[in-house]
Amino acid sequence: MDRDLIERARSGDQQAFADLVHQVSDTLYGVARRILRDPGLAEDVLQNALVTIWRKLPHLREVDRFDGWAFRILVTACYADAPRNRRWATTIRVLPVDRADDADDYRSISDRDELERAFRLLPLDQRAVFVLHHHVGLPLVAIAETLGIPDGTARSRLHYATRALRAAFDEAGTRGAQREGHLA
Amino acid sequence: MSDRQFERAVLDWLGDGSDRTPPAAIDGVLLAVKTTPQERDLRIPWRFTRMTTTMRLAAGIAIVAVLGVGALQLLGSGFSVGSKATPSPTTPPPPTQLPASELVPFTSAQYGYTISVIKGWGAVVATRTLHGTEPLYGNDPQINTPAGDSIMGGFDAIQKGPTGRLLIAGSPTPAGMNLGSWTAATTVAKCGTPTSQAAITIDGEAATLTTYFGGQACFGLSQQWVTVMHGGWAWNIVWIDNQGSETADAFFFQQILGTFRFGQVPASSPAPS
Repeated sequence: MDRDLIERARSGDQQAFADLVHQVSDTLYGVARRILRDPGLAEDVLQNALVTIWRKLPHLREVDRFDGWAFRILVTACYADAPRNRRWATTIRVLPVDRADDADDYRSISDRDELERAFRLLPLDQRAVFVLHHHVGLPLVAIAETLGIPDGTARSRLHYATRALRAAFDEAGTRGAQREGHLA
Repeated sequence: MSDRQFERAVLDWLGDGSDRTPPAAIDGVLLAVKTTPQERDLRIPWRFTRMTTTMRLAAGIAIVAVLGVGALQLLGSGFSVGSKATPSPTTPPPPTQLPASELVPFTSAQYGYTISVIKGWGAVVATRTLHGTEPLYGNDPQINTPAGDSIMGGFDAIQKGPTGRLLIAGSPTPAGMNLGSWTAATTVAKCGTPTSQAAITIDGEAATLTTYFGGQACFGLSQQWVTVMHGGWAWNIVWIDNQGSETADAFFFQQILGTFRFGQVPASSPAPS
């Protein structure tokens, strides 16, 4: 991250902030979209988070911690906005029908659908830890620091999320095997 | 299923979709930033450990002096603090950022521009182009010329609702006119002395924002006029609303102005007979 850009934005330079937004927005949007599973809602949350980042930038003492600080504001915005927008379950994905004859593709589609369904049932705090760990690649200690929670809490949230998704994945595998048995 | 298969499936699934932020979302943020002040960092750095003895002494004298003056003022006022307590002014909550998902693009068939407006708003579209400095509306701001695209939150929104009305029209730039004279001949000629004027940009073009609020209200309504030149055309983009919601109006108007994009302008229609 460009330290100079952050420092200038922190001192009120709107052009520097605009440049900073262009640097970080895709990453933040990607995280919000994965936690919320709704691009429109993720867009709203991203906007709120970026405006909050602008407002609170003067409070950021250590420029090197900008990334974690921004993630924290984003996740907080996810927690705040998601309950007001109960429209998560409406995303429809178009699947390529000409590939559906392939058993591997069926398996892949089935896996994804099960993972999606199971993930949407998770509480937001577990989703956030899961996405920061598996998508962003943050270690648990860094996630705990970013979200301001104890290490053990971050670990247990990841554990519960992983367990639920693993159960869904195994279930999809069992159903896939049964289906192949019926087709044989 | 093995752990490796599970991890691969999770990574595949998490990797789905595009992470590219929609440009309109960024535009909205940058527009909001223009009107959103940063919070002041009120923490005082504790620096006595780095100060010299002389500086500490000077700082001590200054503190004593400030406290002394404060005490004298308190005594002079007869300890009236509390008895004459004035209510602290209440500041209205800051306007809320419009969620991008609540906006829909409107593309003008007559003029080719695009602007995002709130979902569900109605539009009465222009049936011809504006001709020179012809007024955008008559003596009643609710009745615009056929040259203006009129977009609003209901046909009686000006009289009853909190939402207002957007009027947009353009004309081939009259000979010899520039932004200043176009502003004077349309905006100021219509509404008189403005409350304020500011230089802004619309889709990268230099523009003027002229506001009529409070005592300068135009036809009893608060109005914000944007005048801008682009592609050999001169434009009016006007926001009209009831008085009393100027702060929210300015915030909203600036947000949607950030989404305005010029398009391909068709040939101008014949002058009205």
